[in-house]
Amino acid sequence: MSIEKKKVRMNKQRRATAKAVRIDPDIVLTVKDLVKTYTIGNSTITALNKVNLTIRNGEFIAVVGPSGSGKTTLINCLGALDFPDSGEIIYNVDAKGMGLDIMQMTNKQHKKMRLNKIGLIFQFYNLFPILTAYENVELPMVIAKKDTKLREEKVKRLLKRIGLEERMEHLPTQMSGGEQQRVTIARALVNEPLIILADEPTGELDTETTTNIMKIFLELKNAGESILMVTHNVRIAEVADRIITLTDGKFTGEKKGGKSIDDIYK
Amino acid sequence: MRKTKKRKQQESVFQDVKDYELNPEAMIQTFHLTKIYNITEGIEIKALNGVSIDINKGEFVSVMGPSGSGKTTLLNMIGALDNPTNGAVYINRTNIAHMNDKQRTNLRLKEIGLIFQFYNLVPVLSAYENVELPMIFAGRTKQEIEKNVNKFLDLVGLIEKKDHLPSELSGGEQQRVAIARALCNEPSILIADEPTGELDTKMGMEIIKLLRELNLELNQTILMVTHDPLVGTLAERMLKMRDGKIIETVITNK
Repeated sequence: MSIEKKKVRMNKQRRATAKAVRIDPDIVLTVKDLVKTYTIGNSTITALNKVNLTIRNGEFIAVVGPSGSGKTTLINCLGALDFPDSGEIIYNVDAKGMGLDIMQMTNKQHKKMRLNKIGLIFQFYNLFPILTAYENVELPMVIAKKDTKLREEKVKRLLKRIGLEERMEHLPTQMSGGEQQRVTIARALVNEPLIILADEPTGELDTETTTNIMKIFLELKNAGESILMVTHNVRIAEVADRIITLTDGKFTGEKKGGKSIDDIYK
Repeated sequence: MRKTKKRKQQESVFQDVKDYELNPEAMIQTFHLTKIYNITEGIEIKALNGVSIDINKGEFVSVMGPSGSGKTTLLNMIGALDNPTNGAVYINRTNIAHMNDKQRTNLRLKEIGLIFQFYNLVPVLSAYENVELPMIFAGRTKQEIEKNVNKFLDLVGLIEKKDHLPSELSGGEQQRVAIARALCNEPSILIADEPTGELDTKMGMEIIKLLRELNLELNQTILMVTHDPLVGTLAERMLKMRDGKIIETVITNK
């Protein structure tokens, strides 16, 4: 591991428990002046350069940009998988206006956030290959030590919601890419997170499957879920409520979306 | 196009009516293994075309061949991740086609340790938590879990990084975590699918050295798929595959 990463970890361990701040209860997440740099050899790369963002309850936001624009770094920072140099990432943790800043949290609190408050979806699905669809969805609840009966009820309900009820005993190797991604969506939802963070969720999928995945996202949005998706696919981004452009680590534009997925691919 | 799992399993059982001649020394034995994929109506691909192999306890065997030669399909059959169209797989002299879903899950969790090219770690869990996963699902006690996770993370040289997330580890380190995860339930067999595929030569060699040590010191049976000849020849025996068949066996005397 590089010296830079070691430093980050030590800083992380020194952090005290985050102090709560009051925020608008209708806001899920506020990001202020987020900066993240990486040092490679003698050069420093600014992956995120003073990014500001507010996401309201039930909003679906797409961040678009080419490779290297900072999209994945943004998801990793918001998902407590990587730690910014400076700025604030305040989550409305009780959904009633109690704001906690990820930057001030302890390792234990970060873990709780990742397990219970944030639903992460990745491009390469990241399913555990030796477990069935059912067990993969159940996994975050097993780790969070939830009751068996509650687990069964919830996993079955979610698999039904994403249309994979009949395939719950199947392994990832027995499923198509689109089916695997649907399993990861169910897995991301299982602990009822505040927000879904999706990193190129359709990056590995064909047009038809991409359309189906976007339809699931829109259904989730209509059911009240808040979603932040990063993608390089500007066409599918049009279905989101707002589309933000990320260029060289900076937000450089914003426009309204709300197009129907069938209009996009007709 | 896709049959239900139940139907597939029944087919395998029906086609496996004759008794095969079992080698008492063998940890893995396959008989005339065939796998046919129906791509579209009328178009079939024979990913495996009658593969019969014997792997004894404590052997380190590599499977080599170009892409599409059937290497991964073979591993998926042996690892109980998929069902053959025809033929049989025996693990420790038990036909896995005769197992029910629960027994197969148990086999995947306890008897076989699987390592993949893309590590397949859960990104939101630390190294320690990733390694303990198969033990939690296998219903092991808290004490057993703590003992084994620490033991195997130490063995792969990552005990000091046990609280790190996959995103904070290098590719080689992530693959070491995946190896510790595959070992934690102390399986009889370790199966690795292109374990060095995403690593540079130096890191790749370190992973192979680690597998070799596990083989020599713990007498672990290892079956590894690779397309890299340098990696393949580091096993005791190398099976060369082409078009779904084993075309040559090379004893490397390693």
